[in-house]
Amino acid sequence: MHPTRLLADPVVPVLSILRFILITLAGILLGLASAWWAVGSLRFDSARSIGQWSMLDDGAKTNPYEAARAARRGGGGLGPSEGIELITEVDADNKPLDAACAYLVAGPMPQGVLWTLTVSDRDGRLPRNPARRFGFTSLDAMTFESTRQVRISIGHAVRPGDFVATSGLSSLRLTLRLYSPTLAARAPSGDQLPSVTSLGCQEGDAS
Amino acid sequence: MIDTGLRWFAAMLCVAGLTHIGAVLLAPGHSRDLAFTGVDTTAADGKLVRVDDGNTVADLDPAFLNAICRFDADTGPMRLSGAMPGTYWSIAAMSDDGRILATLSREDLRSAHIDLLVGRTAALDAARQSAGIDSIETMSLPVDTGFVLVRLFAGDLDGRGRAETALSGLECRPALVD
Repeated sequence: MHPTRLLADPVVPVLSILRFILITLAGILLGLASAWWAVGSLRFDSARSIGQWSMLDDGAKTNPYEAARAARRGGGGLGPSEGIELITEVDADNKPLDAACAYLVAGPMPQGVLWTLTVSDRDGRLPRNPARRFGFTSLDAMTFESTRQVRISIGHAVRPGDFVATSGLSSLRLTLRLYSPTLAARAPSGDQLPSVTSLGCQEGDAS
Repeated sequence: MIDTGLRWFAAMLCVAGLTHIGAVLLAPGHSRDLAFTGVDTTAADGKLVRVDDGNTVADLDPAFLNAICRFDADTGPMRLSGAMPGTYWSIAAMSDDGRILATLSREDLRSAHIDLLVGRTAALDAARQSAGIDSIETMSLPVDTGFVLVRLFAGDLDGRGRAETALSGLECRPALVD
């Protein structure tokens, strides 16, 4: 046998093993990352959409992505006799909400119903602000006109009126909870809910 | 001959696909420690334990005071009693993984005072007899272990005060008397 082959032969399996390990690790990482992204994304949900809001349901799930998403939320959702939970991670133009941008939540809220609007990141973490202001409720939000429309701004720079600071958030999600047992059977329509519009991503020159 | 690099790439995609499917399917079963099971309820002594973003990752409404009471096969059904605040409140019985099994809200009760038995259906009659009570609200569940989650609206200063007072007066004890 040629002397160089004797030297080279043991190297080939080692390289193959190394390549196998690298490919396996890369595959696992890619699989985990894609699963994390898919579970965090609303586009795989069969949740009912109302305008830009998606109605959450922590009950029995047949869609594995919804089941995983509910598990990732850690529970705590509302049961049918408590009310309904709506979330949005996009603005009125269907662009993903960005924690670096400012937004205005404006429009009507279902009347005669206790509601709360909460600002968080996509994993439910609340913003860090000294006032511990994480959102507004039907009892403390200012309302305008006879239809009691709300105008709540969200962003880093303080704005006049109802305002929630998004300090410390890396992503953005708005959760609107409506506490009424009748709403589970008869959810509000899109024109009974507020919309989320961008005020710009440069805090200084927002419109 | 298929390029070796392409074969390795296809192999990587296969591994990624299997990992993706496995992770999504296994997530619900392995996330239960992230709900309320990590909350220490051992020192509760008949009181409910407050839960918030400091001791649970459960996605709870921060405008509410949330508190839990654990029940399991050892404790049997739990009896939740006390005066509820005039503001909105609700009670949910949940399985260990945070799935809601039954709920009760202010609209379901005529009285401001609550007396509620929560537990597996088969054990509720025994608990009712043991406690010597005929008329009591019940939540019949298909499980032995889980949590009772009480939500009390505390969205303003007055509401928070009333909710805190109500929460401190609520009792959650095993219904079966030794």
